[in-house]
Amino acid sequence: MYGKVVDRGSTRRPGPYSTRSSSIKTSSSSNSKTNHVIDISDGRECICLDDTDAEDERKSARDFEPDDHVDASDDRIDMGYAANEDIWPEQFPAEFDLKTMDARVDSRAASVEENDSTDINAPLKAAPKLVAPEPEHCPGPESQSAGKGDACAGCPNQQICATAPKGPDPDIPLITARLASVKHKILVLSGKGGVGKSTFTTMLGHAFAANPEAQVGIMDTDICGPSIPKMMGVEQETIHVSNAGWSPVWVTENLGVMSVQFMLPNRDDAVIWRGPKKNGLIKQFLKDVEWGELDYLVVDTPPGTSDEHLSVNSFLKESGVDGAVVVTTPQEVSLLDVRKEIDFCRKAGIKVLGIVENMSGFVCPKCTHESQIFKATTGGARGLAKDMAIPFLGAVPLDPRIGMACDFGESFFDNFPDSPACNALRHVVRRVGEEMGVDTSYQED
Amino acid sequence: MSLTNVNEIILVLSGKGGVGKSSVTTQLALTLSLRGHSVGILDIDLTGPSMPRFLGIESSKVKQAPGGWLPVPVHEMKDATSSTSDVSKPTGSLHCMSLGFLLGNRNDAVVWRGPKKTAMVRQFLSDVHWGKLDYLLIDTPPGTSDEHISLVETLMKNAAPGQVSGAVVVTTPQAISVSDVRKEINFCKKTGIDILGVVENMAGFVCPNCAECTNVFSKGGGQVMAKDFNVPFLGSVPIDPAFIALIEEGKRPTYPEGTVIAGQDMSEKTATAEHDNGSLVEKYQSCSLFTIFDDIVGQLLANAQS
Repeated sequence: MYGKVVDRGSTRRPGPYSTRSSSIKTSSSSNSKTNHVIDISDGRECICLDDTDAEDERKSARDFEPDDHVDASDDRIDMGYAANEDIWPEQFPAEFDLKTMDARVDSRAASVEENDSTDINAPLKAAPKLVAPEPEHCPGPESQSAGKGDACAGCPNQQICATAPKGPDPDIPLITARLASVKHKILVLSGKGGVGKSTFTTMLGHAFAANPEAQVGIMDTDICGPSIPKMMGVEQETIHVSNAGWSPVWVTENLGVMSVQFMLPNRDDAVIWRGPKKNGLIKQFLKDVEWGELDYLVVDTPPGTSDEHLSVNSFLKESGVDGAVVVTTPQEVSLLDVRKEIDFCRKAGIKVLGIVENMSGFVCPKCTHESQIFKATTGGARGLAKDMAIPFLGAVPLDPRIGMACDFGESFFDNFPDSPACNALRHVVRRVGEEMGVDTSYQED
Repeated sequence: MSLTNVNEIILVLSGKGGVGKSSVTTQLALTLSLRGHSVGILDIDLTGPSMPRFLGIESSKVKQAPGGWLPVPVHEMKDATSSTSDVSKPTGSLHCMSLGFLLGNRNDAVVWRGPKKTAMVRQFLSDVHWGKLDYLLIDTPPGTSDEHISLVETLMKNAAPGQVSGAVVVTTPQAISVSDVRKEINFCKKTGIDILGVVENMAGFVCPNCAECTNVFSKGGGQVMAKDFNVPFLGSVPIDPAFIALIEEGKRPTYPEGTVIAGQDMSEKTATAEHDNGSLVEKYQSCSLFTIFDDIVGQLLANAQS
């Protein structure tokens, strides 16, 4: 059907300086002090969490263990029905929404530890877990005088409060210092899964790296479903640690990748982690990865608006993010989730560089009839961009060869430079560059 | 306990996003309901709830009852005799619970960290008044994280032995998707959830103009994976634009003259006045995917029995 047979590996050209070519695979025995292969299976030392949850998390480091971090029976969201038990629903159908729930939660603030739905910019740290209810005149476990005040004497929580971390996260300056040498940082977001975030991230990476002068890094923060390594054709690689930090995996001389996939002992292993552990790993990716001088760092994210997104946002706040590219497909089911993501960006103060419509239209290879597989019944991304007053970056048609190139870990740009999808992608990348205020015209040649 | 009257619980899982978990959940529920079973759908995708949109009940709100929350009804039970429409078979009731119903504004983002999601999942499992259900389908978000751990943990603690039948794993055929879904199967193995079968979604797209079938997202990946892990393969579901139109616009699916799917003539029937009227479940019967799902559900129930 398509003329060209995809030949695995044909586009990989590790040059003489490519670090991919096994040079960094120093075995741990030869130089065990500085270099060792990171392997999550002996995660006790390498996955170091800086939250107070770390202790519990380490216990259940590898295997799934029912381990309650939050006792929901205490934290349950009080709907207030207990007080109205005699009200029969048919007579008194009480409708409610999340706002009232949140209000109730707020009113019981003492019993609900986690209520960060409103405060996105709060510093990322876990509240100390108290063994007893807070006494009267408690200075609060978060305060500077926690564990030291008069009221603390004799309190069973004293030790916990006194040793809990205070103030802003001490690692944020470290992250800022580490990323000072990165000129542009771009997030790729979408509330919906499977719309092509990772595909677009790799395309963006390849497009930026087409300029031989530019150094590009791709960071995959999708901990539970990392796709970037496979799309880049580096699934089998592992990362290595040196004095300078973790070395990313280099796909070409100027395109590096970091993902949790490189740390898995087996390709199919599931990473069954709760939020705090994922946050810890993302922090390490930002703090410890030795990117060197980078022109672009593209951060791929998982679907949703949860731990990973909050962490990336709070860790990168100081060092500054150029903005976020939002990817969507045309149908309303997808736009519904994407609106939520844009709402999140607004709340978190992330600039939206623009929205890309992926999988818009499919041209039958036999009769060249274009059908809208994912119909834009509500105006598609174009309509959404207009409604939300954000730039529309372009529409990329659905081309089965894009998926094929991703499956084989090759660059679609190199394999099918003349296809309509490729032209559309080039246009989108140019628009991203424009929105960021950088020149990406070299890729036109 | 809200789960006491639920006969069987089936999870719909996938490591990858956007492969059609919610779409498969919807169709499984409609098909089960068309077989006369009463069905409930619990959507625990908290940050991207899609079930309300799929079922066309976005504006509904959850009602509060003395002992918990009342799920939103999609359609009620219908006997074979009392029905005036062309539905000849008895139809079971369908109810749905999702965080989408609790949002004040449909564009609101739910920005929650793990512990809050955990509390919400537990509350969904303990506080919803399902009533008597033959099947409870649980639609999940992509990944293997907070929601999944909490779900399995709570089910282990609260569900009666044998109540959780197992999981249906959804994938698309391309390798990128399969590699994430393999992780999900390992998750099931680690947590001891039976896999009732693998559904391969988006396998091929038939051009409405020339009937050429294009494998938009490659082909056969799901089947190979099921073989590798030695789990049952339930079937391949092609992309049907008519189904998407049914969900997005409420159009009754129609097919050009001479379309034969699974040995059944799907050609356009004479359009009547109430062509686009009627409930989702009635219209779904004219969809080509119904035949495929009827088959899948048949196998699924057989696997759940054994």
